[in-house]
Amino acid sequence: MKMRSTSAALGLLVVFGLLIGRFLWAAIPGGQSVAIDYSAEVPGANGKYQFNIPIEPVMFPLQTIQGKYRLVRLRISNSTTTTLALSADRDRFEVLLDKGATAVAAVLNPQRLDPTFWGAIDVKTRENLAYPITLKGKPESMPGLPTSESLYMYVLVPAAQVSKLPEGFRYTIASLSQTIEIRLPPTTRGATAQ
Amino acid sequence: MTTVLSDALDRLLKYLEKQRYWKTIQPFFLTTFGTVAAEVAAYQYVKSQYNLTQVPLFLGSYISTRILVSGAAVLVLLLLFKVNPGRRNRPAPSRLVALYRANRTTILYRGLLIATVAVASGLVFFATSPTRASRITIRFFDLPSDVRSEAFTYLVYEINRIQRQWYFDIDARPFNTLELSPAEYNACNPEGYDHVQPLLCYAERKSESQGPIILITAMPLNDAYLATHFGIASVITTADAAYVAPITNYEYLAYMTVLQSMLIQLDAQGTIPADAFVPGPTSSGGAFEFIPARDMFKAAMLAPRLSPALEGQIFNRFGPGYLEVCSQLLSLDWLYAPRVRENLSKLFGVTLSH
Repeated sequence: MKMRSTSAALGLLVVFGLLIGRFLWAAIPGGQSVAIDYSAEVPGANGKYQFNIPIEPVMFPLQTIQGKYRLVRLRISNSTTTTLALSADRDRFEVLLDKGATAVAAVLNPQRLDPTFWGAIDVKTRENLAYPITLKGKPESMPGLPTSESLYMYVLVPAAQVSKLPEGFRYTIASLSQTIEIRLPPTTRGATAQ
Repeated sequence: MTTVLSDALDRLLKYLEKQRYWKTIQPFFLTTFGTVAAEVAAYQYVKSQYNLTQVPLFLGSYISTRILVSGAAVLVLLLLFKVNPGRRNRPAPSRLVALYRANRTTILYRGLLIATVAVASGLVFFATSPTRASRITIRFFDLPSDVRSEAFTYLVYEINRIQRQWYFDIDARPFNTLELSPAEYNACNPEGYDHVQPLLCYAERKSESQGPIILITAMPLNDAYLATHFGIASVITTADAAYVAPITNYEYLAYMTVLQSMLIQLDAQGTIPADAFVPGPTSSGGAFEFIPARDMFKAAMLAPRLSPALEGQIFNRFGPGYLEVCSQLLSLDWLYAPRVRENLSKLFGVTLSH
């Protein structure tokens, strides 16, 4: 009798241990960054433009807005002394998928291209998601002032066409007459290509 | 003058005291005298605090109205208290409960009278109460090349600093039409309609979520010059600022911001003068007058003036302190003060025109 109850207790302990272990295996250690960073840099007048896109590999394929768009957050830094003009109608942003696959164009002007979606979201969200029109240049050189001006912007990527981690991004800024490829640094490229 | 009036009053009192009806009219006389004294004291206070010297303006104000209403309310109560439906059965005063029972009718009657007069007076007070103007947000659509947003921001903060009646918020985000919903954007740009003012329409749409708003642009306005306004939204353009040269864009924008703010605040209260900016061939330089020729605007800007009717409306709607601030800000004296002038020059590289 005693032996039987001890075995049952041990069995329960093993099951409990397996469950706990399973949860631990599913988590990611908190000591490291979970985001991967795509980046690019191009020279400008008396400075440079830097582009960074952090993507969270677990959440990216899972999260969408209204099942229609995935959000890509792009940070642009301008360390030149001139203002960078941006245009939702003349600029172009594409998601690069596997080699040979067609690049997927992001929607920079949903007001014109997807009025139903844009009209259905609230004012605050529209303010946050609207494609910016300008990014100031860095302030005149003075000690203590930041060496660049930065902004975050959100790009709407069609969810149906982009369901996994991109290879990179192609960003054309009309006012710069330049196309920038925003990619993973060589060291992380292999590690994330699973 | 004061001695003569005092002597006359003394003689009048002595004469009245000898009359047999004096006891009856004494409370009415004293109430009337107290009301007049309160009016004089209030006028002296407003005069000393806000430099207001026009008696007709004061007499038409909410302060004077309140004193008159209070005086009238006391007079009405005194008159009605003379009628006492329970007087005939009044017993000798005894304990409190007995007194209440015996005077129940009188107490109820007088209580009802007091409540009625108090409610009526309260309604007049409420209807004539000045309302503190709300905050106004300033946004930049685009600025002319000679205006730095940080320098103009400094001027706006100076306006906030020197008085407590007006508050401006600067929204640093460039005004982005992509933030509008497609329906809003299309409504602002109707096809085949030439007289549309899209910028004012954008400002109106944003005011629905942001509250009162002033949009500043360097683009010319359609069918309007200098500025355009509707409801709680205004658009100021620097495209016509050449008419005020050599006055700088900073001075022009400061003046226009104050003017448009007054317009927004009056319009928000539904008290905008009926003749404001009504086209006509003449102008006396009033702040809300139509300027028949664009080059006359410089003269109006250098000698800003509020019409007596406008002063009355501002006084009654927002109070004497607000009226004083309007005149002070519109004069731009604060802008030409040594402190502001020096800060603009040394820290922003801005030199004013004079």
